Amino acid sequence: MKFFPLIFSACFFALSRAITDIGMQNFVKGKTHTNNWAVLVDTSRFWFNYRHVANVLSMYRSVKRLGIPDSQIILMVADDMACNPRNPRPATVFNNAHQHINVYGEDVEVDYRGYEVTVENFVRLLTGRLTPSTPRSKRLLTDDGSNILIYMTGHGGDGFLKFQDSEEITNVELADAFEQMWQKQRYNEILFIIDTCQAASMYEHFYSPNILAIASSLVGEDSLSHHVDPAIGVYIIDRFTYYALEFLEKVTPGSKDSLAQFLQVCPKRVCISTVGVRRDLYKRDPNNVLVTEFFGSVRNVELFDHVLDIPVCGIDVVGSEGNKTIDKTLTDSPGMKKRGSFVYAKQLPIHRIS
Amino acid sequence: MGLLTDPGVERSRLPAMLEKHHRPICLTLYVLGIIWFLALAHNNFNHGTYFSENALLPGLVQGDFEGDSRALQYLDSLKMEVEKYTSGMPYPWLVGQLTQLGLETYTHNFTLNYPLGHGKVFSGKNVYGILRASRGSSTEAIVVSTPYRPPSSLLQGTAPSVALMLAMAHFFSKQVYWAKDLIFLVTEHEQLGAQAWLQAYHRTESGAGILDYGDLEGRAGAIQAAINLEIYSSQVSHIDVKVEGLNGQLPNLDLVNLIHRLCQRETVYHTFKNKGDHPQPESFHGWLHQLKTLFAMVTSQASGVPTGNHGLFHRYGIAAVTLEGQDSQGRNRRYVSMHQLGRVLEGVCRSLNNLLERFHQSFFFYLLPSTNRYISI
Repeated sequence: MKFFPLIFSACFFALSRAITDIGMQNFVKGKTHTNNWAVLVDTSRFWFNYRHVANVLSMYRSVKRLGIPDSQIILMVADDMACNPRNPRPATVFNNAHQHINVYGEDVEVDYRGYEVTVENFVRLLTGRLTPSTPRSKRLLTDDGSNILIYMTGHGGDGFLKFQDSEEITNVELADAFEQMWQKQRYNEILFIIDTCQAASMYEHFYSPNILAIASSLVGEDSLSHHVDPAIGVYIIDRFTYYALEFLEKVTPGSKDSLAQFLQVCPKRVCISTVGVRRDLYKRDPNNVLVTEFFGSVRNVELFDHVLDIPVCGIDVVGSEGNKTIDKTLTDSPGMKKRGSFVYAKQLPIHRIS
Repeated sequence: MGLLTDPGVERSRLPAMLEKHHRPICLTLYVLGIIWFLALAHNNFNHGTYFSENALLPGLVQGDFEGDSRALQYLDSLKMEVEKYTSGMPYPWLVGQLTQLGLETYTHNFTLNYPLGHGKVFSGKNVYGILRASRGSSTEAIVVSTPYRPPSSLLQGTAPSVALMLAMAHFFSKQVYWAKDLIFLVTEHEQLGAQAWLQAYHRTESGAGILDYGDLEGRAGAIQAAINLEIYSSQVSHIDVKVEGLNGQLPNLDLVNLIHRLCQRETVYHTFKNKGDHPQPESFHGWLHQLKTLFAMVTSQASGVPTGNHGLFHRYGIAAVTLEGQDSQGRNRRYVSMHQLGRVLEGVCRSLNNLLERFHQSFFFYLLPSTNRYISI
């Protein structure tokens, strides 16, 4: 019985060609990923950068609400705003002057906190070159079927993003990190969102496939904050993230909102800066990609009321008394013979649907 | 050997010409210099003030101070106490009030061995209370001070300053957002008390044997900024911001700009050198007005005498200003109430609370032709 999933996945290779059932075809077409991860990074510290922490925590809330579990979210927050002595509402972080939602909450899980948010740790996280003693919560355990949402916010400039007021990551380093990820088959697709000043410079040097990048401002423009909370006395959220969240608040796990709609979420008249998009590395049409394919972890389940005709490929099957039912299905197709030898699984399970 | 008279240098025409006409050239340049200096008062030749320190977030937070009635109660109570102490400071009352607010209250004794007075010895006592930051780590402090003046003093009485300070202390002690300790200091004998306190705080001495600065029982961390209050009435006409310190040293311009910005936010009429901003600074009268302000600052700085107790803080790297408020004398036009003053002080302290480092971003050498223009070095 336990060989069944193995054979099933190994058969997928030939499946797309041989499928005749339309429902089955729709099931396997389009989506190419099997799991979702999110890497949410806030790179700036100090009380006056409250809005960056609010940005990243708001994204965290949205992503969690849409289904990505904490075990697949890496949250990097460079400073503790909730417990900062200057916070007049201790243990809370708000993203709105009306203070409806405490985005810090009681179930936030910060993986990299405070001074652990460094360029080295970030690149090691992406490429997977971590010391053996790194705990599981600090590892990006993605595979080639993972769609990763990478959201970064902080202070940036032309070609760099400032980490912690003492170091920077350049756009070249970031591009190389993504290429390393591609070489090691650590992602299926990446949605890279960056909300900083001159954000578009960060995606200029990307050269790995399947990356869609969105930046809150072009080179030479500053990303602006949205509003001040007079009760707390800080700028509480940035414009791009504010409008992105307004959009995401209406998204449910079953939404059919497309990524193309998300790209239009902050037109120039509200964002003041121009949102930049890099789509040449992304071969799918954003109109056909659901927002939940990156922001949520939606299990695609289709119910059929009839028996499907799944063609089998020529894989050896173990013959034993216990697997009589499986044998029966497999021997339905003509020309199938029972053979009694095992097959090793491929070391790096690679599957391609289309 | 000067460059122009160097024998090895080839004799070109320019040095020869300069040498020949050096008297008229010097005179012309001197006069041009003076004209240039006078022109600096015009807005075309100076710049508008701005904030260099990002951390300050000046005026962003909405103030909550409502303790003006409490301040007036303190003022009445203090006035009754003062009748008993015509030439001294009502120490027990002050210590009692500060202790009741829950602050760590200490007194500080100092003596002056008067160098010119044939062995005369004067003694004085400062009173101060420390409000510890409940969630902070007590590494830094902000000082709010006021010089106490008894009725026998030649200068105007500062009882309303003390009352305002106590009301602020009461308000601040109820807040949770302090990252730095607050020290509320009442000094005696004008600058002597402040100097003795500072010397005792930093354990340094300037001029051995003259001022015996005693010992401080309680101390907070490094002082980031100090606000000195000289409010002479519960209804003042305007707030005058005094910046010049000892030997002409000035506080960081960010602090001065902070005070002006907060006064603007709370619609308090604020001045520099008792001159408000001229409504038409581009005109001739505007230029003249700013020139007078500029010269007032130049002369007071040149004298080297600090214009208030704040001037003594500068030597320790502490940015400090004095806020002076003269009685409005019943004039029906605008006056500043205790409520507004409290809001200004609250806003200033909250901005100072946001600081992470000492003031270092903005200018230390500048001239101010008005409250919102500056001339940097």
